[in-house]
Amino acid sequence: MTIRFFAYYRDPEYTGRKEMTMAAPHTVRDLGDALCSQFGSPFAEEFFNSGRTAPGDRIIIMINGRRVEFLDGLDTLLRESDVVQLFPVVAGG
Amino acid sequence: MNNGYIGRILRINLKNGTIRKEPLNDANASQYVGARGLGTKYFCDECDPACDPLGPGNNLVIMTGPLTGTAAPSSGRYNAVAKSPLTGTIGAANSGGHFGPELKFAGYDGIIFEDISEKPVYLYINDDEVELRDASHLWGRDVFDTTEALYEECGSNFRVACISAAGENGVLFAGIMNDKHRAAGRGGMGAVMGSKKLKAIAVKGTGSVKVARPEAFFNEIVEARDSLRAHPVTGAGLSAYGTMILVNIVNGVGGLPVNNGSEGSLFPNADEISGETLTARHLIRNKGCFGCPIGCGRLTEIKAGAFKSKGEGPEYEAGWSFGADCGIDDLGAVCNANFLCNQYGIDPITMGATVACAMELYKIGAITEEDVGFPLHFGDAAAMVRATEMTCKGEGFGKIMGLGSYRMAEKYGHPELSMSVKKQEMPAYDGRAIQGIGLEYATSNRGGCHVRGYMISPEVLGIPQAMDPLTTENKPAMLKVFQDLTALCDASGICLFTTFGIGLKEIAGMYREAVGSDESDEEILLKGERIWNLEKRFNIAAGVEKDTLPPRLLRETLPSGPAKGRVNELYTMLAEYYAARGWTKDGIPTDNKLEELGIK
Repeated sequence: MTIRFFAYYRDPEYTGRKEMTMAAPHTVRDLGDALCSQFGSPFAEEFFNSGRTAPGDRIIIMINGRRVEFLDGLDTLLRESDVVQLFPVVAGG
Repeated sequence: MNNGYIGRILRINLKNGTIRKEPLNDANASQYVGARGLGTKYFCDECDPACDPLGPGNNLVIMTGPLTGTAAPSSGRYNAVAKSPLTGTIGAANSGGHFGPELKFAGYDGIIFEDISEKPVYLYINDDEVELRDASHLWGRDVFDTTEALYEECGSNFRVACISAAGENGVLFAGIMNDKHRAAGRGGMGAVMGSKKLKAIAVKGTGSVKVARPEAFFNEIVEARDSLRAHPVTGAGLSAYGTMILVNIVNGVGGLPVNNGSEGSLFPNADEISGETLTARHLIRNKGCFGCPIGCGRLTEIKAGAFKSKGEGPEYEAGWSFGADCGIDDLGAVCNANFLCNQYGIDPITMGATVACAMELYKIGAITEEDVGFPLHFGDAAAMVRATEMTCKGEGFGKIMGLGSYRMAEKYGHPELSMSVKKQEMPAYDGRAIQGIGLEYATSNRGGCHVRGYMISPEVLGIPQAMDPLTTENKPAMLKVFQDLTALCDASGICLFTTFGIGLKEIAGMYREAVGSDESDEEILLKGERIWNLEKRFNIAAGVEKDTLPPRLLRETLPSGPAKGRVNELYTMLAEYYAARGWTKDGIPTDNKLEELGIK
């Protein structure tokens, strides 16, 4: 599967990546564990809320353009063909 | 006065050259707050809704709010209000920078310009010294040149709002530019100014703005500034990347219209025109408006190549209009076109969307190389910049593009290809992929516009709470609240971007302590609803067409992305929206509603 990072998540202290591929973990929660393990702090503080029940309040996680809040949250199942997009909360207009 | 207002406005009759200083209408200020609200109230009380937007009966009202020029965060705003020559609706355009505060420091809450001057003039304001001066030597000159000339003539510490030849020559989407790069951009307020032969306003003031309860006001400001600093968007994100940071996330939800919306709303090369790329390649430094802790402005430069240029911006909407909407992924060209819009004082949303519409007309053969003067294919960056420049300068086919996309497309037999509402172009979000923003476009009181009720906030950004962009549930009620709160925010004199980090509680708190009111938050929000209904009443009296969307959004399904197969479900939402507003099923404010709001 493809994972894309945006805004300051691309900075070296977060992931230093614009894009990466990996074998699809079972769920979004498993993906979060894998990415937090790979990149460590400060990225690891972003992915989950404190109870690991939902995304953290500074991250937007999209699977194929849909926020996980409108899918099955962290339990959303992942497939090899999925594109995951990770945005910090941003705004403009 | 010690209540946020100065208590005095200027009334300038351009035909006979009279200058009057008159007391602010306190009762109206209390009801309509200021800036967009109070400016609209003055306008509606004095002008015939049927007036010719470019004729003598269309007053131009420049109005600040009670928070403008105070220590409230991002309080550099003023509004220009007149009947829009582009839409025929009430036209209220909002700008930041330093001009609005300076007007208050000079001793005036606002200026009303009446009638038409016989020769080009500019208004000189140096505290109590107010003069209409000859501007023949400035006529025809661009925004930067005019501003520099007035700095030299009046003093470099003056603040200047002006138009270029685009406004003078009636480009229907010419804006009023202040501090060179800040724009009261949408709806053609610059064309109204040009029709009056009013080239510029130069102002310097040495006074200050006093508030009613300074200590309580200070406490409210501290709280608001703390909230803005703590919020990830207003405290870090907007400052770091500017508004162009939206390109990737809006494209991410499949909502970034491509090729005039004819190719759906997923742009393969979106990252090339994103805030991330702009920051990495072209950013020189940030720039903020008066009293702003956010600082979203960008000073940028294209250092080499065909589009070598330097200026401010682009903002997200211009990044899209000159980028994805024209099928262009060359950020240099996008910046160059945006810089031209600043230099010549025209609205880059309408400009880019009009070029995109012309490109589609060209693609289907409705216009040819003979009409344009060169091929105008989607994706041709040089042609896009050239078309923009021709419009700015009023050359050849640019004169037709200067009428906006609707009149242009209608002339060539395809009005349905204009992506506009009430003849104003919709901004950078596809209403098929983001349902609530479609409802906002349809119901906005100044035609296609995102900043009357920014539904992207909940539907894409999750602020203040995430709403599914593909559904219609609860959108009408949420939009009404957003529209009313936005009207209040605009009227108060602070920047709408603060509402990413603060809400009604903070805005009402600052307003209350500034003006010395004991009204509740709800009573203060009601002023926003009052403004909205006054605008709507004007539009109905002016005979503005019904609330709808271009046929493309209602009938052509999106070909790909998360919203594949969808259209905008406008008519599912519209009846609920009108009900939430207490209007008739045809969208007309009832007598009861107007009476309840005290609209006379």
